[in-house]
Amino acid sequence: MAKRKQKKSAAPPPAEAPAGPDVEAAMIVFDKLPLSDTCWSLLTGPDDRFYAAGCTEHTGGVSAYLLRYTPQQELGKGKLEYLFDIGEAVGEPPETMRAAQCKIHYCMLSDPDSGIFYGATHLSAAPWGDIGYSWFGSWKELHRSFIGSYLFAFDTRSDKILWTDMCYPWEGSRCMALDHKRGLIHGVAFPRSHYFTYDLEKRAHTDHGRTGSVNPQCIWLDSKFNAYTTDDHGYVLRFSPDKGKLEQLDIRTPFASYSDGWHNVSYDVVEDPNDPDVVYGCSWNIPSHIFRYRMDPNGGPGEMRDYGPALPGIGYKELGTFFTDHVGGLVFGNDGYLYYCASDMIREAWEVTSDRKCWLMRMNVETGEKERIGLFNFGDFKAAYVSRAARNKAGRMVFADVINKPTRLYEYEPPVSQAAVQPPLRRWG
Amino acid sequence: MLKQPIGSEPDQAKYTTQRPQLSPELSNPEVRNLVWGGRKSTHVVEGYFVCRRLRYNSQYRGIPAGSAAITSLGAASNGVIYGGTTGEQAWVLAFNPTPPFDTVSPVVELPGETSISRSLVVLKSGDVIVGTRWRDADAPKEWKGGALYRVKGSPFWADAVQEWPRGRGEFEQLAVPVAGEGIAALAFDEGRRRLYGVTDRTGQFFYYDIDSGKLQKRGNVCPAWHHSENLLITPEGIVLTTAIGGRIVRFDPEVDKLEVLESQVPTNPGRGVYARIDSHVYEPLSGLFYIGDKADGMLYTLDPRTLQTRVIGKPSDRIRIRALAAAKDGRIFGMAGGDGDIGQMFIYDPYKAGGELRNLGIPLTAVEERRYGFEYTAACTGPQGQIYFGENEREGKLWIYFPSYMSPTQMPAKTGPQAGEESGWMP
Repeated sequence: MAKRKQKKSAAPPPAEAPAGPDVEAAMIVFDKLPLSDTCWSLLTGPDDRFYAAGCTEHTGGVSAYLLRYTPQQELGKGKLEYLFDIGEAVGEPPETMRAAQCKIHYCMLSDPDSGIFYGATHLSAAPWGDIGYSWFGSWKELHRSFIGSYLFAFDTRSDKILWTDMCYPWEGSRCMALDHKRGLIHGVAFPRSHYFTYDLEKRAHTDHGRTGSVNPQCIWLDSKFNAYTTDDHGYVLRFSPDKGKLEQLDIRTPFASYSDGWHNVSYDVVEDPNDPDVVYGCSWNIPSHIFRYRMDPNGGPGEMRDYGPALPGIGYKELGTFFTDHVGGLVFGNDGYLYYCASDMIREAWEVTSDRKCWLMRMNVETGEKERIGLFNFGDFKAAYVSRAARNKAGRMVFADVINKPTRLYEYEPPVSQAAVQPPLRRWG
Repeated sequence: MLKQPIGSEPDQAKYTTQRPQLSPELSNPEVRNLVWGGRKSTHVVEGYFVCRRLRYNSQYRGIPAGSAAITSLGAASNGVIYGGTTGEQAWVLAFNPTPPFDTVSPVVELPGETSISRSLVVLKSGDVIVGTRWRDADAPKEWKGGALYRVKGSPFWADAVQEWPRGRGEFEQLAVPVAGEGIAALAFDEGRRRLYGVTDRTGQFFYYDIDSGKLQKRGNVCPAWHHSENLLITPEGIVLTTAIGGRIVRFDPEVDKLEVLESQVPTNPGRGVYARIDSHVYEPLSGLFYIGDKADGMLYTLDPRTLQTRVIGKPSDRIRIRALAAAKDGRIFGMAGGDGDIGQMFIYDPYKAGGELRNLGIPLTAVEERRYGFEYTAACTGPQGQIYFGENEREGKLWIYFPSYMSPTQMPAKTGPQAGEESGWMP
């Protein structure tokens, strides 16, 4: 097992810096998807290439598209492939006039054994020609509603779609994890926030009940493939596949003292490169705290460490929102640092582009020290919000953008030449 | 399936020339707000909801998620609301709305039991009788059948604000009316101190006299086992339910006879095969039962004296109505929606000209949880007029609804059979 080495960058800006240097990164725009506006899913495939979903939320009747990016030596010069229209692939194109299969949220999964790459669809966009979609108001309307979340199995070895199936009816899939040993997918649906499992052999789902009203944005696994997520208050929920039971543990993800922990659902979680029973994560809250969670696969609550706010030095922010102060895109670098993105903006309308700041951060997980590497700025273009990140074996990182049209990726490589750690293939979306 | 080979570039026409023509005004934020600002009308804005977690305070664990679906409710005359749950373990809970409590106390859990559904009655003594069933079709062999339990005790003690502990209850099993079958519904005749029940699988009708402890069975409600899982008890102590084809079944305690009548409950054409009573409430101002139908989600009334029915309407596109309650002023509130639905609340106001049935939307509360409400299968009315809805979810809460006030011109005339006094409503 590789021993983690963590090298400090030459001159990191101070944590309280109001602005910073631009990150030396490249931008990969999905320009063949001119209406796409979000990339909610990004995952390293079993073939060590990057898979991403080009999603279209704010224009009705456009399906999500699966893309693949293969890096080259020079940042941004890799090969971007537009693989397929997911709505067409699952037999639910916009012509059905139902709410579009417009995105894949945190529901891409890689099976390292079979080479199969899975994705499950999510909702939010209007049907073709409509001006909006009310997921609460349009419930089980066969002619208009989102008909359900479709799962596709794509063979990365042959570039063929093996099969598709509806994995959860009438709702979208928010986040998923893959137990490839048992052939079991864990998921949370939206809008009713039910936890479900999908049996890949039986091609059938089982509903395990509601987690709350705020969707958790991540499900993760321990070494025995117990699955974990959180409820509305950040209590850790564990699903034991052997017991078939979802249970609340007496442990919570950390949050600011002025908060009562509401909305502290898990947002993004990555596995420790050296210990499958340890994860690092952040919550979907303001301010989002970085945590380390050591799980107990034998049933105990485990141990939680609070690393404090992901973006230190900010304090209570009266005008903070879940958009302006977003944290996501956690990924371990070759250097053993935990990288992530933290937005730091002033309250603004959703589509207003002024004052955009999206920091690339890194944290020494031994000491908890956090550094601002720089901003994802490309000339006049400024990134605002990163949902997920991924890395390949060589250590190349890509980050998924949200709220730009067309949507895009940011490619970055930490300044080390030799891998100190080799994180495992991510087992969840 | 795919119109283009995998890996080929997307057809740009899909994103340009083949797009629907929409007004450019839709990019105007003010116009967009007309679309998205309308979301507030998705949820119930008439009246007010709060909810209560199923735990006393943070000193104690609550009823665990997985055992917290509230599937029975009943009100005691002192204002305490009792509930029964369905899940891995069946629990009996109590909510005391009055100071110094305003909290839920888990009273007892019933070992080896998984569901109390439409089967909870509160005696004048404050004791609670519940009937149990197995929560799904896979009852283990060692389960003997649904049982009647008497639950008593003092779940509230001293003060819920400071350091004092909560109380607990105790229970005793009274009987297993029919071996291997669950209890689908209970009703209580206070005058005769008699409990009526019907079983879930074959619909066996039984009664249990509280004072003597004597259990009597009177056969199947329906030979085809196509009975309603609701028992309606009239002020005179007559029990009503339905059999196959929506035929009304009556048990008259004076003649001790269960009979299937010619009268039928209403259904839409061709839907009689599905006709069953899904929920009911007796409304004393009008002297009518209001009934939610299981075939199409219709609301109708049944006059217990004449057995005449009148269809009011269908409040929502949901095909079930699983919870109904009557406000003190005679208005009816209910929840439409079945398993796995996003339910919708509705009101029937009999005092609006011709009666008005309206869909109120999807419940939402921000007290004591920020929570959307989707599934409810139990309801009751408290002595002060609050309406309680039992949330049928893995981590269910007790929802409390405060109906909006009626304007003076809307208030009911005192002309009904038991107008005013019994309901406690005073102009």
